Amino acid sequence: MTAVFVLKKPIRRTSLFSRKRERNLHLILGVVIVGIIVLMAVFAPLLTRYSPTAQDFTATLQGPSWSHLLGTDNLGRDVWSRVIYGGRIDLFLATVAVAAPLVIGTVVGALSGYFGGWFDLIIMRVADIVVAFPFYVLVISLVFILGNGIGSIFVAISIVSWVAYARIVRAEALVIRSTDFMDALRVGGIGTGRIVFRHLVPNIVSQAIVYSMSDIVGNIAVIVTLSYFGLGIVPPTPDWGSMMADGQPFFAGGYYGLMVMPALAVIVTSFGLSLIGDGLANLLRVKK
Amino acid sequence: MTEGGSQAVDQADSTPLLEIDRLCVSARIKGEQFRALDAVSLTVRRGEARGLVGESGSGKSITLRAAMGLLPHSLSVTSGAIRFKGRDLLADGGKSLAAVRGTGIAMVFQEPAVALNPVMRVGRQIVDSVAWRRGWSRREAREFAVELMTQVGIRDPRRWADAYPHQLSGGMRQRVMIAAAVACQPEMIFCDEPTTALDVTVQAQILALFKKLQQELNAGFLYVTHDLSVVAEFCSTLSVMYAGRIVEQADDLKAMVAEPAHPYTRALLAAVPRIKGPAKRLRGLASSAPPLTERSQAPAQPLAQIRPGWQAALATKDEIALFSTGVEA
Repeated sequence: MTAVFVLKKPIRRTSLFSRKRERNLHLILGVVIVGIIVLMAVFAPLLTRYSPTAQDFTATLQGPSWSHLLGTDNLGRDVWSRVIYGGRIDLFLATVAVAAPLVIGTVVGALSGYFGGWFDLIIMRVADIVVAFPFYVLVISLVFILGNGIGSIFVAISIVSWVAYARIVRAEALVIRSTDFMDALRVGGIGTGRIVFRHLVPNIVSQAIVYSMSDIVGNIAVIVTLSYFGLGIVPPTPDWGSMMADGQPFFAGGYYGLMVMPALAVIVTSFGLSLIGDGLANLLRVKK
Repeated sequence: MTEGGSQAVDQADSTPLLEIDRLCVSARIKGEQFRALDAVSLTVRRGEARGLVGESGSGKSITLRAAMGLLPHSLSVTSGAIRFKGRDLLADGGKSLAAVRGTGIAMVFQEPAVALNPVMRVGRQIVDSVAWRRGWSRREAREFAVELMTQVGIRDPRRWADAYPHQLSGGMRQRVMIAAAVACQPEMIFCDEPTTALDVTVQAQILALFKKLQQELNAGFLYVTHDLSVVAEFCSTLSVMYAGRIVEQADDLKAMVAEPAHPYTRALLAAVPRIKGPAKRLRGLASSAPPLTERSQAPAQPLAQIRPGWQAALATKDEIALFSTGVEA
């Protein structure tokens, strides 16, 4: 035995999926589910022979068969095609409509928490005003004002949901800004911008990222709801919300698939995203 | 320009590196002002390591924080000056201060565990301020970080440069802090009890590192601690604080320790346990500093000159009585 201790433990990047021996089942399952759905949406043209908008009046309201996996709707459009193509627009929009508020909210919240003072006061009062309105009322009014379309949904969601991120990040920034390591950076003569964005934000953004996972779920719900009401995504672009609305009149006639299939897509996707959110939250909780 | 330049050189020889001149800091508690620091004056020259000792609440950390512009909102400088190479850091709304931070004056904190960014690899963290100033590429920055880590005695720096602070031991973290502090080659280093959170063996190593750096950089050190053994080990000059005032300071640490002039210094020194010599009962201090709100609000009297480079406050009768009694611990 030698008296010299040599640390043999390698310094490794901690894996996202496993920490020590404990596997993060939530995260793995969520990533698998969402991964499959995203792949299906991305490779939609390879998974179906039919265009999602092609009408075939010789084969309307058919049940599942080998040529139409999930049957056809009242215009003879292939339901399977429409479900996977619908995922494209809904997932894309939900993701983009999370990214923008995440970035805006994080920047505004970090600055607000770090500087405090009148800037913080103004930002937080604006946030209070936005939150004072019921979420759906505000989003639906905004889409109504801005006009139908993907762009309006995106703008409407961004205007409303940056607030949550700003509040989360601000609260964390308030805690971090008075720590010793922030003092150490100031003493080191590092510029304020670099302190905020290079040192402060990486320390606090994780909470916002966890929240963004549940926010995507919320966004899917919003987008689907809006298009169910005929706001937002305009036909004939396939999307889960308008599919449900279109299928509703035939529900009583026993053509359940027209409504159930897109609904199932929404539920499974949301479930997968929620699992990712939980998994990330667990991962970060262990860290703290 | 040339004239000014030669003047500046002349000045550099005679003016101390750091001069804290009758610094007063007041605390606002429930709308009332209380003196937290009262006319604190001290100087540090190039290559000098001045110890600043005192019990908790004596104002030693506040002195450092005031000099670095890190006072909490409840505290503010009411009068006095902090001059670095003859330039008043408080005069122009923080511009001078911002200019000397990092490059002129660096600081080593007490708790390396909380004074490092937990989510940044230490290698990058050490050189962050230099790389930012000089616009270095990642590779250049990393090479310099590795060099600094070698200098502060971290073995296998290439491997540890990729570690996060929580993966390091306390001693290593403090070495990293020190590496970050010396990265810009400061002329003055403030140390806020840098070894208090470390065990004694590591403390000795860190002090040895400070000594080495002092010789290499020829920097001035202002070393705040309540540990007199650390002072004896590292410092050449000493200032003693009590209740927000300097009670005694000398450029000759040994002479002052041999026969302290102020009763508080005497009491403080008497409270140090000794290993050598005949066994004696350990004496504690009869009283610690009164809380801020109960201190005398009369302005401090100027220090009396004991010998050139040695000043002490005139102790009142009460103080003499208070500190000479002591308690048996």
